[in-house]
Amino acid sequence: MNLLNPVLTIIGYVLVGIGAFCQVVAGIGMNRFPNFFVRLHAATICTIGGSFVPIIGCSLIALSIEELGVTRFFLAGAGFVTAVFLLILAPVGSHLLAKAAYFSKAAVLHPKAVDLLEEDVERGEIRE
Amino acid sequence: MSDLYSLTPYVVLAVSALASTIAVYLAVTEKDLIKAVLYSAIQSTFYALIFYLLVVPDIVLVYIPVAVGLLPAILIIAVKKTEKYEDVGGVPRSTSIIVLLSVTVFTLIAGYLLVVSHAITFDVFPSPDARLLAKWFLATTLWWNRLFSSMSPEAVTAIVWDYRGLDTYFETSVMYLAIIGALAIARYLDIPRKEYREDVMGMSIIGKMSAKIIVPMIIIVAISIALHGHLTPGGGFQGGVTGAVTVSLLIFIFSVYFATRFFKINIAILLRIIGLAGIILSATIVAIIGFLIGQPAYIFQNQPKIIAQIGLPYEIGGNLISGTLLLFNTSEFLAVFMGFAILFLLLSIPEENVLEVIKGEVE
Repeated sequence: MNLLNPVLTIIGYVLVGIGAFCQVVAGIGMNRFPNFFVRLHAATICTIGGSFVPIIGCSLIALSIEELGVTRFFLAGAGFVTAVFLLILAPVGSHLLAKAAYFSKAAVLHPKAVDLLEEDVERGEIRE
Repeated sequence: MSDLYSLTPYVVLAVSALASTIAVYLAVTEKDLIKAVLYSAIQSTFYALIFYLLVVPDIVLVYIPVAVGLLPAILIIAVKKTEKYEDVGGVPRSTSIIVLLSVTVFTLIAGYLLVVSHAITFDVFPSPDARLLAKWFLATTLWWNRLFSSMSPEAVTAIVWDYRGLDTYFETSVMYLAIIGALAIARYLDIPRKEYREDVMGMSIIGKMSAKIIVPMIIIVAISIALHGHLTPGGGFQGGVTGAVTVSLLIFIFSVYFATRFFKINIAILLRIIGLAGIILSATIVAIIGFLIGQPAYIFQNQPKIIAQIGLPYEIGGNLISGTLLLFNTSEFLAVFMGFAILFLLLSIPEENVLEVIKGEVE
């Protein structure tokens, strides 16, 4: 376990760094993307890359600190459970948001390259 | 210099009291109702500052979201749905002068009393002794001497349900009275009986599948928050609210007709009554035991005290249960969970059914 601790610490810090980078990227994207659906993509980068990854990193760092005693397992366990919740719920949330915004036509789809969903709806394959 | 420093809170207090008075005056005289709501929000902000200076941070924490955020939001929605301007031609000049004068006089009298009380006791703001007392309480919630302790490492639960249990009882009864009020308003309403159809109702299959995965996990987390309330941050109320999220998830993602398969209003009311009875039983169980064996005891007593030498065991087989705290948390979890479930189910009754019932009552 002693040998493993520096490895865990380094991996944890790398994950936290990736998280910080993703947060910055998501912030830039939020400001510069043209419409709602692309901005939703930036929001998902923020939740998965900016929250899920650093929480895993924090749990690994907590596991590597032996001064915490048994408490470090509680901390790491709570962190992993939170991360799993985020991993399941964040994509579902953005999916439901995108679906609701698309079918209620609340968001303007202005710079549009391709819209496969619209073609499917026109062909009658997908019900609103 | 130190005198000036000690005067600072009083100066800020006086300035914010004056500013809130002006905001009240503007709110009363303003004809544009949206602006009036904003003025009242400004007044609430200054009141929050005053509360903070009077060292009641817990009230500030509740006051800012409710009075500055929630209440103006509801008022603005109400104003938007009705009319934006007062059509009575505004408040007469004499009335506004009377309002301004009375508010100013009230503020001056309150400030005068504050200064007088400070001059008598020098103790309006909590003295350093209070901090010492708080430190002592925090250090002794889990202690070798049971007579001065509640045997729980979680100080918040110990203080909320042991040291000031009666206070908390009345606080929670506010919420239960609110639920009773909601039930009384909706006494003739019922969720219409309709078969749940998977292919028509609810959101997409991705949402449904993930809800099926996540709902049992949320319930398990809620139960663990409630049952560990005397060990880790959390408790019955927090666990109950977390559990109630599942009901709203079922309603929003599937349908209310799907949610009624698991949560029926009448069964929820029954479980809530069981929870409330559990709270009352946990509050009086030591007193009942004391009455039966002929010893003095108090309500809301947990561990033995010097003049009431009986109490509940604080551990069972080496596991810390902190006497009545575990009972309190369990019953509060049940009552809050089911109370919020009732509220969510009542709120999700379709509007047509409500209108039908109201029409029937009027005729």
